Amino acid sequence: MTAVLELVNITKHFPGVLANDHINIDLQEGEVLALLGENGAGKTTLMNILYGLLRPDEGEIRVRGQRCRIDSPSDAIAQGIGMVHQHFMLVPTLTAAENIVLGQEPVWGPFLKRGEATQRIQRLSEDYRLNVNPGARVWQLSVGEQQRVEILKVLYRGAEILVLDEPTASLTPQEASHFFDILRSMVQRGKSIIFISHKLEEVMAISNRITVLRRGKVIGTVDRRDASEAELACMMVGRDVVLRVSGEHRAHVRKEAVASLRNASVVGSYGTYALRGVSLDLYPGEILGVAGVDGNGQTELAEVLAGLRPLAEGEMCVDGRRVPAGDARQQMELGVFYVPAERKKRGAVMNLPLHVNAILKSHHAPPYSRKGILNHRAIRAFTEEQTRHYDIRCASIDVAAGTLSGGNLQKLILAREISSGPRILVAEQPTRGLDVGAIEYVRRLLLEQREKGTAILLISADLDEILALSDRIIVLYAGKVAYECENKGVSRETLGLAMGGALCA
Amino acid sequence: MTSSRLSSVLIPMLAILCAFAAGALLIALAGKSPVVAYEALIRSAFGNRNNWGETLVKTTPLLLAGLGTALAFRARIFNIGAEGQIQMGALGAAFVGLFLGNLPAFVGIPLILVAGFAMGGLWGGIAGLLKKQFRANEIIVTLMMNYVALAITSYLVGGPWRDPASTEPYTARFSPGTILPVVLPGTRLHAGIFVALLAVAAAWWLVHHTVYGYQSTVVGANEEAARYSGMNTGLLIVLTMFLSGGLAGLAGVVEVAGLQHRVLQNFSADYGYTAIAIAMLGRVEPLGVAVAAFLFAALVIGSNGMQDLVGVPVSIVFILEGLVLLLVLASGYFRRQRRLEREGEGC
Repeated sequence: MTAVLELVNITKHFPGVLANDHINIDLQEGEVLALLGENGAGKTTLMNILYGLLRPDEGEIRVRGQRCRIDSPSDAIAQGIGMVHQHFMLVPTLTAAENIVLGQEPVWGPFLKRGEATQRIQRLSEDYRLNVNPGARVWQLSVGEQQRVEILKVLYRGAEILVLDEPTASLTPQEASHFFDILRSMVQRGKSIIFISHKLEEVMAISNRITVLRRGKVIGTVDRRDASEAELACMMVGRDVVLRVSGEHRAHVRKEAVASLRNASVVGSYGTYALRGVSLDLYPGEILGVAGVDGNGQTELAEVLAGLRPLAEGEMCVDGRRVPAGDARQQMELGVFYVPAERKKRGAVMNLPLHVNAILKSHHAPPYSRKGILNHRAIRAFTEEQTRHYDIRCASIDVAAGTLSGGNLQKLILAREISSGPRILVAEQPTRGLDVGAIEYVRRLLLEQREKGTAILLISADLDEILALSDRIIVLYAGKVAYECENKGVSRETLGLAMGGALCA
Repeated sequence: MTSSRLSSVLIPMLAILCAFAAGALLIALAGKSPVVAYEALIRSAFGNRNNWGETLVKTTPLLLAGLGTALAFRARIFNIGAEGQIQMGALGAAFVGLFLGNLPAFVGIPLILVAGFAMGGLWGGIAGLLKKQFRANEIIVTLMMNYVALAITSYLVGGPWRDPASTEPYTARFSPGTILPVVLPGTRLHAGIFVALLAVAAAWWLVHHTVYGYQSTVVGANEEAARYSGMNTGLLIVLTMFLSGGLAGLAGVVEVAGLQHRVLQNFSADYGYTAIAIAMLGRVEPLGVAVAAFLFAALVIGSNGMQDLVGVPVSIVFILEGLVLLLVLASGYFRRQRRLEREGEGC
């Protein structure tokens, strides 16, 4: 076997983060190499470098032993590297064939040689048993079919090396098993595949070798035959000592649950079930940590509690009373406040001033407005007070929220939600992308809030954060509660296995 | 803040200057002296009391319709139906003026304003309701409703509401108590200008000092954040379209009750479409819209004079108007780009 692709000493800095730290990876001809790692481990950065979307600070890429520069996706394609993204990039109103040839249409003068394109696609589709009807419009296709169109698109461009980014994330189990058949048939025909995943079971099922990334470094590469799920889980989440911001998690005198979900199922943005029968209880003065890799239903869980997403099945109770789901105003009045992961798209209005953002949730009530009329003096005084009290660094309260640094923006959002006097606080990835100082500050605020008796749902893909702050922990995997425990002597390995889906029934 | 505020005035000014420079080139190409032509333009718009009167007469409907359009644009609702809403407003006023007998002015004038606002608001509100209920695209709905409104006006003034004393398609004169009096003797300037100025003040207050204004600004800037904050975005859409249509309706009222004193078939010189340009030139701020409406009115009146006095072809006049709009809008793009670049560095 020869290496078709080598990544040598790839290093990439982002401000404050070392996303890739001297990474070495090689891909052999005709193999499936799995790239395993948590969110933020550096997988996506690495693949973006390979596909010419980012340029490395150091290191080189070799294709079949030849050093080459890849400055754009078209360079990558020219080197025979094709990428299938997690979220498909297809034009829904065009046919499968039109999407596949888009950008490389066989033309005769100004005319598309439709027949030729269709024939070639048909042949490729049969060769790899992809079963794509070239004439079908993309919007009519299921998610699995759309993915096969994406794969065809890459094959059509002559790719020998395929990079698949979380390819099974939005597939049903049946579609996923069909997908693995396709992978095998591609390998048989000499293609080499990099398969990015966080699902241990899949990685064990399909790959020849597995490279594990953590915090921008290669932790190790193992042969599938020598690997076990437990070992991979350990490599993925690490065995580091957990630094605690707080002293101890608390042994609780449980009171009544302030909010609970029973068998909650919701339909996510992609039309599939994002939560499947989740039940949980939130108690006053307790932090419930939700661990899991992104995209396993965490955002939808937060949205249900915040009243932004209706329930397909199941029920939600606040103070023991059943309440209708999907009413944001009602949830606020019940005392549910929400710090979203999407700070810029949801948590703040980036092109409006701080004093507008500070009262997003309270502008309709005194003292900020009376009978529909705003009280600018009260609004400004409140905003000034907030920026002082929470140390939000800004030129003035008249600057747009978009001018704040990530940490200060998050402080603004958190301050707003906390100052509303929450009884239930949903914090989704509250420290993602922040610098160390801001992380500590945000964590301290969350703990303070717990002392005040707020029930907190802490959603985080950072296992350290979950272990440092939570009193209880649940792990979400594929929309289900895969594991549940007190935060007392639980091993990272167990949590890692649950996050990778290895503990699912 | 001050530097961005300064540039928000300076850059459009610069754009207008550029437009006039380009216009000068065209005028020269047409064989006329740009200096003479522009002098005629300024003189025709502001030369004497009558010129001022005409400019302000033109400002009035443009300002009201521009305000209405701006209210919708602020909430990122693309109401391009001011033209139809103007028609409906005029018909509302006409109903009061033609069929409610001889009213005293202190009853008649408020009544035509209310009727016009309500009719325009209703016309806009329908589009708002369709958007809220069925996610109907407001651009298409309001555009189509313009044609419907025009057809209704044509039908009424040519049929049931036609002046019995005439065969031409226009209504009879409104009753005296429903006519807006002239406020600048010797000119056609009527009390509608006060309606327009009051509307500017009201819109400014609404936008900057009420919960409605706050919410519509947030919805326009980031609908997801508005939803997250528990705002009733559906209600906001309908209400905004009602207010927007109502203000455009007032433009129709002042035009028929202040100027022609009856409804003519084509009484609106595409004010509703010019209003779109004015709302954008004014950066959807009520005070900005007032300035933009005044500038545009002066440009229209002045260009007419330029055509009459100097013989500059009318097409060049239209090109000049188009250039002003294009360059000011383009300057908005550059301002945004610069801001984006600055923010990009902050990330």
